[in-house]
Amino acid sequence: MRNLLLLAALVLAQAAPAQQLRRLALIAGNDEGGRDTKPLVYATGDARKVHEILLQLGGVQADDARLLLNARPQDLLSALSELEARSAEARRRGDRTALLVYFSGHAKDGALRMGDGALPLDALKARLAAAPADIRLGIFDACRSGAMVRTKGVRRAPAFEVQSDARADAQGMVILTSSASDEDSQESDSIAGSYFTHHLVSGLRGDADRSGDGRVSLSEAYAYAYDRTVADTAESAAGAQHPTFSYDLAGNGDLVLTEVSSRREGLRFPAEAPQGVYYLVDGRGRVVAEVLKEAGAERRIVLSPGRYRVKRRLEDRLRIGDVEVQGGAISTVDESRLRDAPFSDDPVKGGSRATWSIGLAAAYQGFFGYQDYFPPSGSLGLELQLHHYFRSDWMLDFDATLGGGKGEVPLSTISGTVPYQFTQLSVGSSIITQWPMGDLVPFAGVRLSFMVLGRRFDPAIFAKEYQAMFTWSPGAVVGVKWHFAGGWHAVARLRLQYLNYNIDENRHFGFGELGAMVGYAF
Amino acid sequence: MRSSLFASFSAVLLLAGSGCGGDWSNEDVEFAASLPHRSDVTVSLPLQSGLSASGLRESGATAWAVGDPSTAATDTRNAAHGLDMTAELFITILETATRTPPNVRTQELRIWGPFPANDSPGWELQIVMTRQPVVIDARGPDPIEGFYWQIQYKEVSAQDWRQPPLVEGFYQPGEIRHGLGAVMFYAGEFRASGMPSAKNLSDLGTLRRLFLVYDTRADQPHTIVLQATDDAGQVATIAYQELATLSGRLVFDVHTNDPNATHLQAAARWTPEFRGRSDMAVVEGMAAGAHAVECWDGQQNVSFVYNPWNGIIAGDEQRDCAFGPP
Repeated sequence: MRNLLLLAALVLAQAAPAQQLRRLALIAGNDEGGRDTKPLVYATGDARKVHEILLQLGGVQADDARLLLNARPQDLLSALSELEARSAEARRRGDRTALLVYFSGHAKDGALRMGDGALPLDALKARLAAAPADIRLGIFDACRSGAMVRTKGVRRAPAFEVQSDARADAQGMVILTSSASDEDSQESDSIAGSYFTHHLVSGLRGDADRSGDGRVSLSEAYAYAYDRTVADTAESAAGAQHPTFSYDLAGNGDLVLTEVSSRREGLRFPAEAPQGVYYLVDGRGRVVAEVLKEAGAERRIVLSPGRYRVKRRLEDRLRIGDVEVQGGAISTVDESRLRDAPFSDDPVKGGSRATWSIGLAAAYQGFFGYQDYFPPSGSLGLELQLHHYFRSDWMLDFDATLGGGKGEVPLSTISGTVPYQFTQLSVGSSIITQWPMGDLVPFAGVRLSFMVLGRRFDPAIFAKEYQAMFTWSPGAVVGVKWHFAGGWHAVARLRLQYLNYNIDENRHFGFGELGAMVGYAF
Repeated sequence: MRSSLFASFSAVLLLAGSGCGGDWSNEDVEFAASLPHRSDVTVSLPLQSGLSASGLRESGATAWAVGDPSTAATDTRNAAHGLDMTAELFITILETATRTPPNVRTQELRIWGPFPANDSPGWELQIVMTRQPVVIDARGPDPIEGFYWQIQYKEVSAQDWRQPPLVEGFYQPGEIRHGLGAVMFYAGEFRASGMPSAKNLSDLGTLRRLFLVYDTRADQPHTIVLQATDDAGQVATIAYQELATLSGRLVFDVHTNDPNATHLQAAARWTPEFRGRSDMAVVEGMAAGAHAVECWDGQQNVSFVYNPWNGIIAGDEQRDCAFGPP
């Protein structure tokens, strides 16, 4: 059946060369799915990849593309309205238009989950169906997104049919989903993304161009993504994942998604190159594409200029080599320049889901009942956070704060108080676990800081003028994070710390710090 | 990288058990706040007159006419300098030592040092302070909680600190670094100790004891009473009282072995512009009842002189003196 699909795709692709049409794209990715979902790691990254490929090869102009990361449903609908208006305007001018909506994230209970918000699949589908565009294409990489295609004209791939009417341009709606209605969509650390989007993007870069015409059509891309996704997930613990396809195009029934021949830079795998799966790894250790090379067939894939490591996995070893893609040139992968390498030298930084964020924090600190020793103070700090490093919902936080205030030493034998200027430098680290609930993420953890406290006196009163103290301070932190726009987030938190003082005498202090932070996640 | 991060974090956790350090001490501040401030034991423009009557007589004898440089004014400045130098000796030691954290801390005790004596190789000093009831004015109230401090000294090789100490002080709390305090300087024992710096203090002359009481409590006029005793047993008492800012009065009470004037009293007063008047009277001795007056103007020249011993009377007392008779 799969061969029939490919054959149909080949026939269609040759019979219906791509028409010039205005392409508009709405791409959204949400790592957070709200209540009862675990945060995804690569959803926003997948959205970025699709956005990039559409701009690079998909004929979408930057003005006609909208990329939404961790946005709310109303943001998506608002952006959709904007693109619909553009499409309607273009059609009034006599242009043909194609509107593509891509979403990567959670779907549950018949709705796309976008943070704390939900967007019902039926409503979105209806909205897409009514959109003023000649071709509407929805691609949903989400768990159980197959629910989107459980209605009329839908069946599990690859058993789909294409209405072929070469007399007219294609019109209608197509929906691709990453999994069936009862399946989870799976992510992989080894490819740093979801299986479906990874293979879809690899296919769009050229590996899906089975017809060899330099164009990747919708049916080619789907067939490629389907095969590769099923193959990669077949052995996974969650079981095989089956992308689905809802096709309702009339007229010349295929759509060219990317024009790989329009870009004259990339990699060529010559026909004599050994068959197998080749991974193209960028300088950050991430798989940007993979190529399924068949024996005796040539493959071409479009890549941005840069240096890539080519990896082919054999049963007992790897074959690895570097290749440079020059701007405006096609480089050829030369098998003789690959070398054998053990699996331990795998260039793919698989398993690293780590992402970083930075933040600027302000806090107010007070000691419980012991202001005689340490005054209340305000502080400003910088924080660096490593997410999803030890575990997907854990965060390692490094902070440095500088604060100060004014205090007074009360005297017991002599009347009066001795004023001083107080400063505090604190360097700390926290391990925090989070419970994402959409845009709101409660968290709690433990913190250890090294504190240097200092106070400066009027030398006319106290000849020593300066006193200092340094100590380790363990504690706990609780708070909530709010994602309010893109990678931006705000944090409100409470830290409770312990401090041992043993200079005048041995005393045990507790202090609290109420703080707020604005951060940005990369 | 992951394991190294875990190791780093574990190391940090282990270090947390190492406690804390530093010199953050409220009690240190309290102890230091009981030490006299430099301004409490120095007089900006006082008169000490060399701890003997001879200086006064000699200086009085040099003023012959109105317009001459006033030796009384010069004596005032010189005496102020002499007194400041004496106070400087222990104030500098105190302030230098207490710029560092104390080496011993208990609830009622602080010890700074021992420190090597910079100008006396082989000798060392330490400051010992205790919080305890003290009495300064025997006619005053019962002992009240205060501070007692000593500057102790000894040869490095010696086992015990010398007694009496170099300086000892008592403090009854008033305000921070102000209050009622007494300082005893054991100059005779210090000179006899052989400590090199003592030999260099030639200004001490034959001084044996210096007892200084200061009162800088907020509701009292700033006063300093200094009593000096020399090796011959002569006693000189100088009482300073601040009259107003930069204006003050010094009263001398000097006992001597001079048969002409076995007991002298003198008073010097000055204005903020340093116009001044010095009165001296022989209380006991062959010249008992004699007195002399010298006034000086803002340029420290004689504006009036009354010295019947030498038959000199010049100027108009009412017109040319900043102060009337005491």
